Amino acid sequence: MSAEPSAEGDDDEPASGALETWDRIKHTERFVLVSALVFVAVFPWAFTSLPLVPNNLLAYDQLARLVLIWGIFALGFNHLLGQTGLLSFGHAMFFGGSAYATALFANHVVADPLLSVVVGVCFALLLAVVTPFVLLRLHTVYFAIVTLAIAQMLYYMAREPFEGITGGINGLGVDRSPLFGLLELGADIPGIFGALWGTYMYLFIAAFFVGVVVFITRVRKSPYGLIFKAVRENETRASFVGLDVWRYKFAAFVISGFVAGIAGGLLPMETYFTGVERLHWTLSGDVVMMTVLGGLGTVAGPILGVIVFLYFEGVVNGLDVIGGYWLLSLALAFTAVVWKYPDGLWGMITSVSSRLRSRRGDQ
Amino acid sequence: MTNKRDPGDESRRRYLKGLAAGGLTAGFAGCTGGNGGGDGGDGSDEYDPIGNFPPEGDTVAIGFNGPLSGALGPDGQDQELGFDLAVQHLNNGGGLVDTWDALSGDGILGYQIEPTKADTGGDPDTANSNISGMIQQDNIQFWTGGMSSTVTLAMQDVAQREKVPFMGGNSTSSGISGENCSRYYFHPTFHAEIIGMAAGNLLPEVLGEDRELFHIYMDYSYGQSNRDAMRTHLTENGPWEDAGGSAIAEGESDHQTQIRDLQNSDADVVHFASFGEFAASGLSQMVDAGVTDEVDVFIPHVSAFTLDPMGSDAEGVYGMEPWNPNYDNEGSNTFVEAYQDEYDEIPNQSSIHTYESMLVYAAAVEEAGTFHPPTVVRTLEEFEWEQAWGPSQFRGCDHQVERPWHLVQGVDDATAEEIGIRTEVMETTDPLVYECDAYPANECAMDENEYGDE
Repeated sequence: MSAEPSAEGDDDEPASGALETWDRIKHTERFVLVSALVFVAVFPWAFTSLPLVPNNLLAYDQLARLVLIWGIFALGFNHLLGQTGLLSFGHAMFFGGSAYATALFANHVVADPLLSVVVGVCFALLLAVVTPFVLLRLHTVYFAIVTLAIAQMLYYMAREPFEGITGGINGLGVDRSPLFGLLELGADIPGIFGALWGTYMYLFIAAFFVGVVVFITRVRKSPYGLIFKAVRENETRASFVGLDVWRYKFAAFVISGFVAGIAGGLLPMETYFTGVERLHWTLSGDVVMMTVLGGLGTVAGPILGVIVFLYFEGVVNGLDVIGGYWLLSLALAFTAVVWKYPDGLWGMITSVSSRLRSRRGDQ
Repeated sequence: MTNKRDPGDESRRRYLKGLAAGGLTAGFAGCTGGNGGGDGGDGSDEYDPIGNFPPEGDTVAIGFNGPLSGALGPDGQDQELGFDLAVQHLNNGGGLVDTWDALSGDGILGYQIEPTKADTGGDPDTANSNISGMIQQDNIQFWTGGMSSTVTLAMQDVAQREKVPFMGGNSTSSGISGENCSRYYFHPTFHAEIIGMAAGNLLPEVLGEDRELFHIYMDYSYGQSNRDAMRTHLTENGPWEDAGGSAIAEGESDHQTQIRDLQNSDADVVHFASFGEFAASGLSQMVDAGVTDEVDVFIPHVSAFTLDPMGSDAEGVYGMEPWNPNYDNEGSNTFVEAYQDEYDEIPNQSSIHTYESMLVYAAAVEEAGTFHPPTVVRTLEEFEWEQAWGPSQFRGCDHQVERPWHLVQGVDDATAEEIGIRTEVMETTDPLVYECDAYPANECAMDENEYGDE
């Protein structure tokens, strides 16, 4: 349940002492922090320049940055669904809402990347604080449908009545100035780190990513976070124990919207563009698919799901012949994984590793 | 598909070079990067590296980034066929390459073209991610493709930032060559304002001067800008009378209200500003209501994704096309023949757009003697040519093309079967575009878009 892909490798250690140590540390917060740092440090290189992999199967720098941005989004979404058991089909509202707030602030006030993202996140927080008063009266499918309805309402509002501000279906070009007026994020990092990470923009996004992973883990591991789980497992029981279920659901919703807002704010800074598509329900669907594909309720799962999803969109899409069927092949892969491993890709990895370990136990 | 994709993958090169997607630094690269080691006679020794220039090795990568799936899929797939054919002809000769003196049939400046393609699905974020990969990983020197205005508008900015020329979005928002104009994008087709102008020229000629015009339009920028342009050129500055209009709300597919409004007016022509499946469904409701017996229908821009779902309802409907396979000029005949030889079907405006865009870029590079983007852009800014599009030229003030446009009319099923397309040309304008100081060109601040080597 950690964020570190090298986990499977460690399982191959022969000494059982090492295994015990591994079991002991793998759930600690410090381990998650170190894993997140290692991940952001080597991921872009592995994703874009891994030796012995044919060039057309490798990704490109921007895709690595997009993985982190969408990873943040998926972690935010997962906090609500995987952690607290609330299925939102309208998370595009936080993502797209924050993207617009960020873009408008950058275009009309100051184009500083950090300030703009902060403004975007504030807008997402505002949405996340207001909407639960309607939403949390509802359960299960009603909750999902009304989140969808609210997000679609924002989509149509951005599309027509506010076309003058949002650019309507044509979208909006976004300004981005150097960070604090000093550091141009598009510039290459000099030396070996440049080869590893590309531009400063990657570091900018990676800082948010690590921050979100640490924050989410802190919440998960805290007694407070355990109550989210209790609510997910059985709401009635949780309330019988004397817990104010509404308050915890509200908190989970706000945290989730906040994290999704970070991703939404980062994207226009990365692409210099935002459009109404980011408020559309299909985007809410994408994040559900990424999270479920990777593995609900874990930290590594959603990120794994994002990597696979964007790999299909960004790399398989460009391949000859099969490229034309990238959506179809993604759908097939998704169905196959979920059929065999309902817990997603991360569930697949953990089940393979536990099978390996039990086999060793037999010997 | 045949051997079009062969040159492909092994030689795809990846460059961890200075100009990743961040881009604003691209402009400075020329000052600091020293001379690039361009090989071959492309004149690259004379120019500093900029954007993806110079191409490395003996191939030049060119991208296609269009909607192969989604609602715009039918047009995107035709664009892809046109692109594939252009690559084949530019590399090995054939089609218009054989008749255009500037082109050799042996690649561009002796560099074989290595195509790279991706599907945008009509979504600007997907398009953005695609093009970012093509620019960084495939080192493209130029790209084409695209139908949706949203995508083209977003891609114009990318082209400008990355200093990679882009041409051939078959999109019809007037902002593309208006307020959002870009030094590195060239617009090869019309948009609402030009459609209005062309309709103003031709419709009174074909339908008579004593007519009353009603508008049924989608109530957002697409429909409104078309309505305004038609008003300007047909009723305000033209011979026709305005009979009012009726808006279609977003996503509304039941047009009974609008049809009633139309019947209650005295109109005998309706301008139906809609597209795709919406236009098809609306038209079929008009046919059912018997409207089309008394009223002539004009749809501003007809292309495959609008015509295909219309089927036989399209018979008798007027529309504007930037190109039609029955346009009788030498270039079009040559292209249609070559296209039929390859695919055994009739090309449409989407296939010719990517095809001719590719050839125009190639010819401009040959004339400039280099792939150096600012030089190629300067060459294109005063480029004149005459191929399938007819006598055409780009202009520097907004990069809008000036060329002839076609008033077409839908044909019945039997004729459609015979000629391979649902429209036939009624009239063709002279090369036509508004002045540089008129809307929307007056909103284009081209000088603010840098060449990058100033």
